[in-house]
Amino acid sequence: MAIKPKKKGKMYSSRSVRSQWFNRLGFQQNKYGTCKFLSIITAFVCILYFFSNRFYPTSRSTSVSYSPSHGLYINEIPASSQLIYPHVEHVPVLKQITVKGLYVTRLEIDGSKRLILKSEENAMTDEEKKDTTDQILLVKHSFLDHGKLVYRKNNDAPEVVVVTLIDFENYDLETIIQIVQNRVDYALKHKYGVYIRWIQEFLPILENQNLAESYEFVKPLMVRAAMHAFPTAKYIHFVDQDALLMNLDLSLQKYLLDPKILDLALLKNVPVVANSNIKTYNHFEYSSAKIIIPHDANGNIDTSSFVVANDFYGQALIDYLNDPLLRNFPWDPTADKLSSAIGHILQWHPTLLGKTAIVIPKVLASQYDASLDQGGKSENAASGGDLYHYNEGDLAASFKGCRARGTCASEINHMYSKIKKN
Amino acid sequence: MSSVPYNSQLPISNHLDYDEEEKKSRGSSSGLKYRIIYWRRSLCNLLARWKKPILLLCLTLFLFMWINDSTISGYPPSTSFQGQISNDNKLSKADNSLNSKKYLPPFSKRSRWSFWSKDPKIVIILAANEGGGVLRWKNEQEWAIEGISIENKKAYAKRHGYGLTIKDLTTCKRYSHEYREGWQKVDILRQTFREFPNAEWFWWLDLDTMIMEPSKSLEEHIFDRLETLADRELKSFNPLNLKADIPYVNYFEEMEFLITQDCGGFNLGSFMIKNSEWSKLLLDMWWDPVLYEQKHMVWEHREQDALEALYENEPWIRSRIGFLPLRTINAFPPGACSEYSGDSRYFYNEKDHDFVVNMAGCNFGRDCWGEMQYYTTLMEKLNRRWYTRFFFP
Repeated sequence: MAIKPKKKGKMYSSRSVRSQWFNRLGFQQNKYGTCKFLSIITAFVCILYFFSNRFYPTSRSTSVSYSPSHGLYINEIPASSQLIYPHVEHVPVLKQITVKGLYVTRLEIDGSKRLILKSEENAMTDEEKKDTTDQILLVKHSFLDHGKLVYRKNNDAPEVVVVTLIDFENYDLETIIQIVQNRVDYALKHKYGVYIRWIQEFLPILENQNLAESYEFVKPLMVRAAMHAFPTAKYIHFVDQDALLMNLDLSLQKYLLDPKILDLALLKNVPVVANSNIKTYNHFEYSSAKIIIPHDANGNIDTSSFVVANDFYGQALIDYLNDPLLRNFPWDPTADKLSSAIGHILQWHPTLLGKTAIVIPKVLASQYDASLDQGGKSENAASGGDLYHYNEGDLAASFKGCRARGTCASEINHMYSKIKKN
Repeated sequence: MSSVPYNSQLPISNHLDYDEEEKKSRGSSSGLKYRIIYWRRSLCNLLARWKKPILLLCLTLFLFMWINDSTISGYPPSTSFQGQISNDNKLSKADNSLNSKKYLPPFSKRSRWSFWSKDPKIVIILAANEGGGVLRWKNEQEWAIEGISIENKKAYAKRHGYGLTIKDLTTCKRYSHEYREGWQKVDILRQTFREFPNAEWFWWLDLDTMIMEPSKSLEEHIFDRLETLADRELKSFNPLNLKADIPYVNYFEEMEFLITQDCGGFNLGSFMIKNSEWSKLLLDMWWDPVLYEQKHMVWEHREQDALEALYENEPWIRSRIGFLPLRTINAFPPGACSEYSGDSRYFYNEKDHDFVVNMAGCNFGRDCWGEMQYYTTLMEKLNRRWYTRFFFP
C-alpha cells in the first residue's frame, strides 16, 4: 500500500519537470494554468477556423459578379433532352415564309439590305403559343427560338456532341428527315448529344449574307454555338449535311480518340495543305489532340467532318475562324474557303498545329463515289486499299460536291437505305 | 514492502508487480492477455502524462496544415452561380490538369512557403537599348536613362525576390521591313517563357518606366486583390468604345493577361502575362498575316491594335484578359495623354503613391531625361526614411 503515495509523488514531480520548458516560455506555473492556457488557445483556433471560411476572400462570387456567358441570344432556354434538333416538319412552311420573312431587314447607309438578329428577344412562352392560331407565326417563332436552346444538365451530360447544319431552302423534307434521323440514331447508340440547327439561323451574323458564298463559314459559327450549348461536352463532332454516318457502331472514343487508332490514321510529315512547305509533325502527342480533321484526296483540309475539343484550343481555332477579319478575307473563291482558312491558320500558328491531328479521310469522311458504288461488291473490294473513297464499314460517307452534281438528295437517299439494311 | 530502502530505485514497473500478483491470483490467464492489458495501461498513462504536449503538437500541426492548405488549396468555389456557367471553366481546367501543372491556381492562393524553390515566381522583363544606337547616335542622356531605369528595376526585383531579365531591343529594326516592329515584344515574351519555365507571371516593362513605390510587392499590390481590382467587362472604362458584350465570353475563366488602357486604347508599356498554355497560344495567334495584311495601314500601334481587334471579336481571348486601372501599374506623367489633363484616371499622383510611372512617348517631342530626373528625385524623396537625414543632410 505504500506504493500508491510514492507513485503519485513521482507522477507529480515528473509532471513539474516536464512542464519546466513551459515555464521557461513564460507560461503560468500553477496546477491548472498551462492547461487552461492551452485549452483557451485551442478553442480560439477552432473558432477562428470555423469562422474564417466566412471571411475568406477566396470566393469570387462574394466579391465580383460577372454576367454569365451567353450565346448569340442573351435569353436562353434550358433543353430537356440532349438531342437538340429543330422541328423538321416545318420545312414546307419555312420554304413558304423564306428567309426574308423570318428576319427583320434593315436598310444600310450604303443602300444594301441586311438581315438583323435580335439578340435580346425572349422566347415565345407557352401561353402565347396557345393564344395564337397563326401557323406562320408559330413556325417563325419556333425557328427563331431554336437557337436559344442550351443543355445545362450536369448529371448525364454527353461527352461527344454530333453537330449538323440543315438547310430548308435547298433540301426537301424527306432528305432532311433522313439526315436528322441518321444523327439521332448514331447519338442514341452511344449516348452522344445531337445539336442540329438551320443554316439560315446564322445568316444575320455574316457580313456576306449570300448563303451560297458564305456557306462554309457557317460551320465554325455552328461549332461555337454547339460548344456553348453543351459546355461539358469534351468533343464536338461536326458532320456536314452532305454526309451520312454509315457505321453506327463506331464510337468516336474507341474508334478515333484512342491513341493506338489515332496513330494509324495520323498523317505525319506531310504538307499541311497541298504544296506547302509546312509539314505536319513527326512526333505527335496523341492525348493532346484537340482538333482532328481529315485531308481530302488532294491533300487539302476537308471540312465535311471534323472533331474539335471543347477547350480553349478548340475555341481558339473556331473563334479565329469566326473573326470577321479572317472570314471576309478574299479567300480563293474556287476552293473551299473554310478549308483554305484552316490551312492558313495551321501553317502560320505552330502551337495550334501541334494540337491538330490531320488524319486520313477514311476515318472521318470517306468520299462517296457513285461510280465505285455502282460497280458492285467486287470492285468495292478492289478499291479496299483506297484511303479516300467510301467502303463499307467506314464511319461516314461524304457526298462532297453533290451540290455541283445536283445529286445530293438521290445520293443521300441511296446511302440512307444502306444504313437501314445493316 | 517496508523492507525496501526508501532511497533505493523503485522498480519502474511497480504496477507490473501488481499485475503479476493479479496474474498469480487468476492463475489461468494467458500471457497475451496480460500483455495487452499492460500495453493498454501504459498507453493510457503515457497519454495522461503527455496530454498537454500532445495537444500542443496537434494544435501546431493543425495550424500549419491550415495555413498551408488555405494558401495552396485550389479554386474558389463559384458557389452562387448555377453550375451551367462555370462548366466551360471546369471543363478546360480538368482537361489541362491532366497534362501538367500548367493550370496553377491564381497566385494569391498559392503557398508562400516555397522559399526553398530557387526559381522566381515573378519575372520582370525590361526592354532596353531600343535600336541599339544603330540608326542614330545614342546620346549620354539616353545612356543615363537606361542606367537609372535598370538600377530601379534591379533594386526592386532584389528586394522582393523576383527575377529580372533585361532584353536588348537592338534588332528591332529587323522587323521593320514587314511593318511589324511591335512584334519583337511577342518574340521576346516567347523566348522568356522558355527561359523561365517555372515562373508564374511575367511583368513586361518598357525602359521609360520608374517603379515609384519599391516597398510594395506585386502580390499585395496586384495579385492578392486581383478579383476586385481588375475590370473584365469594360464597364468602368472603355476608351475605344469596344462592344461591351459579345457572345460566348466566359468570365469565369482565370485572368491570364493583365493590361491597362490609356486614353488611346490598350497600352502595352507595362502588362502582366501568366506563364500558361493559353498565353503561349495567344502569343502565337497574335500575329497573323491575313489579319495584318488587311489592316497594317490602319493599325498604327501595331501589336496593340492587333490585340484590340482580337479582343473585340474573339471570346477565347476576351475570357482571360483583365484590365487593371492605368494608375496601378502604368501611371502617366502629365505630358502623355495631355489632351485629357483633367482626368485623374491617367496621371501619376504622388499623394496616392501610385506604383509605377510610365513616361510613354517621351521621345516624341518631350524631354525624356527631364522627366526621368524628376521622377527619380521624387521617388527618392518619397521613400526616404526619417533617419536618413542624419546621414545625408
